[in-house]
Amino acid sequence: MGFFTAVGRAAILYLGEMGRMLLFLLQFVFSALKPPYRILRVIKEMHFIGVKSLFIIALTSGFTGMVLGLQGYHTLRKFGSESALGSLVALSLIRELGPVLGSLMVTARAGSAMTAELGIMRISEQIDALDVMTLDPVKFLVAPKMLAGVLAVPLLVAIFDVIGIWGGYIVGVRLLGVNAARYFDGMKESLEFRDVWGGAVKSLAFGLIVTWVSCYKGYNCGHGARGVGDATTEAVVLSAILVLAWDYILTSLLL
Amino acid sequence: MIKVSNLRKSFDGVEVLKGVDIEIPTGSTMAIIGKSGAGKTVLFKHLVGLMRPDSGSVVVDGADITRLRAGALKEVKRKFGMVFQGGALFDSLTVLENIAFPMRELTGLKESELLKKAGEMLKEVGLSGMGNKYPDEISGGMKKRVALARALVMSPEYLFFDEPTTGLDPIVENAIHALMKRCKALAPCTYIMVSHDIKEVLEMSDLVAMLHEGVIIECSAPEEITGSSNPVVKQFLSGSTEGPIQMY
Ligand SMILES: Nc1ncnc2c1ncn2[C@@H]1O[C@H](COP(=O)(O)OP(=O)(O)OP(=O)(O)O)[C@@H](O)[C@H]1O
Ligand SMILES: [Mg+2]
Repeated sequence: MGFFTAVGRAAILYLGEMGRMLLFLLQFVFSALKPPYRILRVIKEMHFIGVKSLFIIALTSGFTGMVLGLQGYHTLRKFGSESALGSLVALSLIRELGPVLGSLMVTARAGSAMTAELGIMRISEQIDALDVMTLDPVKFLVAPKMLAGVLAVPLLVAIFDVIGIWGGYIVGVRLLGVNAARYFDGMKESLEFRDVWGGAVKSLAFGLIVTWVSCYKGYNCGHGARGVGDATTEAVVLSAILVLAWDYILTSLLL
Repeated sequence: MIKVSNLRKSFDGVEVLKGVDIEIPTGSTMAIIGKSGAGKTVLFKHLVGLMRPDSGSVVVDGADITRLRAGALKEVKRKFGMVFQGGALFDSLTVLENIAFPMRELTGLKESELLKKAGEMLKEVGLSGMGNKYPDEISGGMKKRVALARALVMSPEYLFFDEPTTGLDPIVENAIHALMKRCKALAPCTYIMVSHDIKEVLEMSDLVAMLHEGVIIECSAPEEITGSSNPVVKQFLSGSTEGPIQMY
């Protein structure tokens, strides 16, 4: 009996949380559609999510591409097909690694900061103060962040892909001696529009997931400094899990 | 006029408000007193629509804000201004920006005009020259004054002060009282304040309501409440530790 009660209670708790998250998303959609549009705030948030993540995205994508070049070269050489290195690097990056790693980096850098910012605003009653001023906090604080996430993450992922391909080129062509023309020709031959489109869909979805979870957790954070800390941890963990889970779902739908 | 009827609210099974009834006439200054933890802040949050009651109603100029839809509620809320007990300043904006904020977001004022107005308000609360500091760089009493300035600058119809002068020195306190009176004279409005400072309550208000154990036990003019026969009110006003209000 105790076991079933516990499972039931946990299930209700999770379902409730999922329902609240969904309502939060709907609230975002409706408030974003309603004028006045705060374009300036969206641009500011895009600066925060996008421009300020550039360095870390460049760094991680460079290394990812280099490792792909290295691993790919040694694996492909076993089959005597080093010339396929270009398509291997490009396809892995554009279809999988770019969207997934890119949005995980955005979670770590910008998502956690959003949660902490909103959480502190919640516990210090700044969100209530906005509310009394008749400025809908979801519209004023959350919507610009989520819109910026949806817009900035695909752009960051595109940059991730390009730098990654270049990293693979450095290692594969410059260091290990794969023919440069082969590296890029192979890429052109094997890469289809579908792949690029799939990557774009993924990065859009992940951008939404990361900012949605981060904002939700911060907006509804618990009590005190501990509450903000817990919310931040939960936001990062849940974002990462959802990104990976949705990566699988989207891949199976897009293939 | 704000009319609260039978307002009830409990947290985790503990009933904080047990049927509050109160009428705040338009244009009055009402002080709400009661011991720490009596539920004054909770009552305030119901009055401005930040909390929803378990039951009961809060009728503001004929509209029950506990039942209004978002759009209509917003219309009513436009009449409100609130000074939070903790200030609730936007900590990533400077002091001046904090005061300018509601004007910038809610009025069509030009940037230069609203900055000028914010600067004047800052001077009124005795903080000229502090405009470029951030809320975490100023003292508790200063924060309180900035919060006050941010609320007063919009001249709302109903102004809620949760302990407007707690933590201020007596001179500043008097200056704030003078400012509050001046603002009220300039633009007629209703003040509702929570205060622990009996002298302030008697000086500022024309109605005093005492919240005790979840209900309003007395609501009358300051002259009358000082002569109250209710032992709870008597003890509270005298600050005696002996009487029906137990500390522990
Ligand atoms: N969000 C909340 N969740 C749970 N309990 C709460 C919440 N807010 C207030 N309470 C409880 O309600 C009671 C009244 O709190 P409130 O802050 O209204 O007191 P107060 O009269 O304003 O006291 P003070 O004069 O010290 O500010 C307290 O016992 C408090 O624990
Ligand atoms: Mg209080």
